[in-house]
Amino acid sequence: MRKGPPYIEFEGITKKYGNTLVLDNLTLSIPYGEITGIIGPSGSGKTTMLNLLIGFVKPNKGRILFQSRNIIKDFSNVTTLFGFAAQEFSFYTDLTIEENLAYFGNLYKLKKSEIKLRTDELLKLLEIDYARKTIARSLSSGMGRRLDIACSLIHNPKVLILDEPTQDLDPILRKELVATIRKVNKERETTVIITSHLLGEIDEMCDTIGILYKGHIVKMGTPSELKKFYNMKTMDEIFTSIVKKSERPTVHVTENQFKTKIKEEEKKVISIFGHNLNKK
Amino acid sequence: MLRIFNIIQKNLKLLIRSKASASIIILGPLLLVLLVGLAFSGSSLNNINVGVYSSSYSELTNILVTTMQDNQFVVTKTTSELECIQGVKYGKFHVCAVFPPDLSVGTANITSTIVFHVDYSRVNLVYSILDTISKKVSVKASELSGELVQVLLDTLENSRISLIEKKDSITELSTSASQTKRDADNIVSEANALSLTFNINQTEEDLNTLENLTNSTSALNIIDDIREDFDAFNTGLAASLEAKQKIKEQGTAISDASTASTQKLTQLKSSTETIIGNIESIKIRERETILNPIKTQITPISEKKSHWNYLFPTLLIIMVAFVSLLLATSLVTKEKATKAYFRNFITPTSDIIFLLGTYLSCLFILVVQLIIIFGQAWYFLRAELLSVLGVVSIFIILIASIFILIGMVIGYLFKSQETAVLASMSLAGFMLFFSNTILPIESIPPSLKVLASFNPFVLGEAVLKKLILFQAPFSALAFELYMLIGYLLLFLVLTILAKEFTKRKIS
Repeated sequence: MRKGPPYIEFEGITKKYGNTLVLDNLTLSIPYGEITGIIGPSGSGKTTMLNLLIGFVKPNKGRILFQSRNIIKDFSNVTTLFGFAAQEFSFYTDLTIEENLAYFGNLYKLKKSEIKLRTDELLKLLEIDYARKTIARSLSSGMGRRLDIACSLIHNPKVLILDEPTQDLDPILRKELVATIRKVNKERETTVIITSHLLGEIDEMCDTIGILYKGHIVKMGTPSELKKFYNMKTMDEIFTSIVKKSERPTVHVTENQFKTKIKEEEKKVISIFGHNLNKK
Repeated sequence: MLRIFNIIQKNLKLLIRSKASASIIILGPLLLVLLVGLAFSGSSLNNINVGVYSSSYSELTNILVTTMQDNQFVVTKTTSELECIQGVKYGKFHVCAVFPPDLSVGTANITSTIVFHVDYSRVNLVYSILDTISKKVSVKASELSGELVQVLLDTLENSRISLIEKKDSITELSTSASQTKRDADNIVSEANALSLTFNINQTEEDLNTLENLTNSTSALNIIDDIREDFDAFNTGLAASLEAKQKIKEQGTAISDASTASTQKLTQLKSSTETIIGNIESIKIRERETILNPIKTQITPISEKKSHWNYLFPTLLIIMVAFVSLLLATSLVTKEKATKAYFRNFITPTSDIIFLLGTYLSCLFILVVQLIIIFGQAWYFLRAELLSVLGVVSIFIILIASIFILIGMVIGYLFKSQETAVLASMSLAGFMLFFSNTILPIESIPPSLKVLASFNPFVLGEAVLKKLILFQAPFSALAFELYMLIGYLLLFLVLTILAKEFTKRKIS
């Protein structure tokens, strides 16, 4: 399903924070027009990798090429051609959806007419047009995430980078968001790079998946290629096997395990409150 | 330019939509200035509580107590000196006046010292109270002194008139004494000229001869009678001689006494003339001149105005400093705390644009506030402001820019909004204390005074005072101008560095 030659390339990237090695000689190719997922346990360096990509942090070693040009030397391209949505919402909660888009559009040096046009387009695309005058503070998580993506897309970037976008969303909202991302990818031919540790949706959404572990890409391919390579049915199984194989001391929590744990905790809370209420 | 406007617009929206911030940052200073304006629009002290005590109130004490009682002073008589002093300690009274018992003027052995007990910890008030109350008491004391001086002056004048009148009498007496002397001398002289010599022996011999010549009984009887008459004459003559001698002696005594009297009267006349001359030589006979031989006059170098006028430059600098610092700190920390802060960094908008946006947002709010404050000040300072409005505006923007940049540096360096605001408040307080606002900087040690004189707050206050109160020309502000420009550049560099530091922290 690859649509072209490497669009973005990480070449031997090493990044340290103090003495902590976060990325270790990372090499990765991201094709044009696809949704590329990067999976890995918490602390594996996913966010650092994306921060390097948007030029927010600089590597200790190696280079990142965008259309064969070093992004550090061609930083203006990065800012105008890349859109980024961080783990946390990155918009002003006291501004309306429309005002947020106008503000960021302006920072991307768009003309007023362009901002209006793109705002209309994006709000329709992301299905939040009806709430354009709503103060962002009062938006639901799902709508907030859509606004965040809209802010990332206001300047019509060629690359959309999403750092764990479905985190904190309920399953229905996650499904909706996945559909939205696909829609953006398809309708605007935007290359999407997405990180997540929720492996099911990555499997469902991404054209290519890279498994980041201990600072480098362990394996990269389409979901079917990876399943075939590891001879496993789900991404969960693949990921768990990689972690176990490398005898990683910390336990990776899969989506199902996470849900089970949450349910257990919810039960505990309910029982505590119930007990208290009965007492009263 | 459009992006800067966009950032300013966003900042203002965020500020206005955060009602608490808006009310504290925007309305707070305006309310403060309004209240200060209303409170200090007069030029006198109000509701000063004065405690008074005297173990025995004289008429004069009561007059003084009544003099103190007016709109400004509320006077309360206490039952003991201790109660009066304690009243000052516990804030019931601003000042305690202890009058001596039976205070009166001109009574010997009675002290007339009025003791004022004041609370020097209220340094900003104590001198004003003392000044006001001393004026009141001294007015009454001056009245009393005036009355005493008038009595002296009247007595002196009466004496002069009386002496002039009596001087003629002395002259008459002197003339009389001279005449008496002359008369006495004449009497003595005439007495001397009076011859009372008679040769009685010759007469006796003649009578004896005559008796021998005659045998006539009758003739002899007549001779005997003559002899008896001569004896009687002789006795009378002896008495006359004695009387003449007495006349001579007494005449001489009268003459001598008259001479002495004349001399004394001459001396008395001379003394009288000297006294009259001395009295007349006193040129200053006006009561007021004697009471206050040296008059002091305090002529303000600016027109006498209300507290508000004098406070205005200080108030302005306080407002500019506090609002700039707090607003800039608040805006930067608020921006840092928003999740959108990160997104700003990845847009093709340079850091300088964001810095300018924040700076201009603060400046815009400050300018709006200043317009309102100047509108209020216009009522009091129309003439003064009109001539210097342009220069004042330039300097206020310069001063405000420095404080905004300081506030931004603090905002970028501190992690939480609370600590940043606290740091801003502390810095503003520090600058306020080391300025002329609370105590004159002359009251601090010389080494610290030098440092304090470079305090941007002090420089700003000095500039605004010079401009608003004295309409100083631009050339008189060169030192402050260069210093302020220096600060502006310094804090501009620090702000850029602090923002870069924040960026690294985020990454």
